[in-house]
Formats: sequence, C-alpha cells, structure tokens
Amino acid sequence: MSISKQVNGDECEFMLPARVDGPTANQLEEEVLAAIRGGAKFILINLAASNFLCSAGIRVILQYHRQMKGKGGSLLVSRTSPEIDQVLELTGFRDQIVEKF
Amino acid sequence: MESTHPVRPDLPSEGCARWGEFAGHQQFHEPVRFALDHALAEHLQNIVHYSHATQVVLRFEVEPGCVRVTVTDDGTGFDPTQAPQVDTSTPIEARPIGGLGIHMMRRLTDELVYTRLPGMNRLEMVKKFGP
Repeated sequence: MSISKQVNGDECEFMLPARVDGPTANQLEEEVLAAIRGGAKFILINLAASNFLCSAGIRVILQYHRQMKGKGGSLLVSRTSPEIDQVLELTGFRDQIVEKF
Repeated sequence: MESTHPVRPDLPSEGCARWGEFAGHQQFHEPVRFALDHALAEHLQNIVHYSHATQVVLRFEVEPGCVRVTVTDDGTGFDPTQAPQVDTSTPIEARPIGGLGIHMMRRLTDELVYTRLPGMNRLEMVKKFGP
C-alpha cells in the first residue's frame, strides 16, 4: 500500500498505510520534499490507517516538523491510533507533533 | 516451542513477517506481538544500514513467562546495548535525530542481551507475557 495525498492550496495532507516501515518512511520523505517544493506551508500526516511506525518514519516527521516550523509553516501528525500513540509516547514526541483540535 | 528462520539480510520486512506468523500461531497477546514486531524491525533495519551482513538468522523461543527473539548476523560488530541513552525530556528542537530505533528497542523489550561471537553478532530480545 502506498501513500496518498490531498492538496488544498498551501495545505497538504498525506494518508499513510498501515505499516510505516523503512521503505515507506523513504517514500514519505520524498513526498514531503515534493510538497514543500510545490509551495505547501501546512502539512498533515494522517495516521488513521496506521498501526506501525518505525523510527525512520519518526525521523522524517521530526526533521520536517522542525523545518516547517522554522519557515513559519507546520507539519503535524493527525488521527493517531492507540498503537501509534504508544510509539510516539515512548519517544517523547506525542504532545509536540500530534495535531491538537 | 522454538522456531528458526534464515532471512534475507536486506529485507527487514521478511523477518517481521516470520515473527508475525509465529506470534499468530502462538496466539500471543497484542502487546507482546506489537513490541517485538517494532523491536525486531528496528534491529533488522540497523543491520541493513550498518552491518553489511550476508546472513541473518532469527530464532523465536517460548520460555516460561516470556518469549525470546534472537537475531544472529555475520556483519560488522556492533553492540546496541552500549548506545547512548536518549533523553526524551529534551525539547523537540534540540533533540538529536539519531538513536531513536535503539531507544525504542530498549523501551519495548524487557531485556536486550548482546554477544559478540567469532565473526557474528547475536542480539537476544526478551518480552515478558505479564505486565
């Protein structure tokens, strides 16, 4: 399963598959870079369908979260499952990168 | 109950699939399956990137009160148990990008034991069945 996306102006939302492993993390990085090059300022990583997130995926999220914040935009994670919450909690990032409504 | 599986050193997903089959057959509770799936994936990913191994063998053993996953590879010697600890209280802007995989392996298992054998690395990951 691959990553799909929805673009609305300068907002871009990526829908990730169930398993965000090394190859999927690499694909996510390529997609995020392409979105930034295309002018996206607000990026959401939708993890509603995901139940596995490896450290490579977290590294991509962390790296571009910082980059977007530094440019006045944002990259946040949304719709996390309990499994993904557990992983983000373990790394200490949950409260900082999950979208708050 | 034990089970041994040679897997491709360049394909972490194959090792995780073998674990998933074993865990399903043994009917492990989800937290045990989940924890060792993640820990194994992180270790196999490190082998792909850093160890240059040509052979990787997985061994799954059910012991009283726990399950042990042993990964043996013939790559460069590296002891993940000696990697620096990650301070999760550091603000996100100041956090180093690396080290998260080993941090997750530590947090998701109850025991990590590394042994350097002649020409081989052996890492044992133990997860208890209870809380």
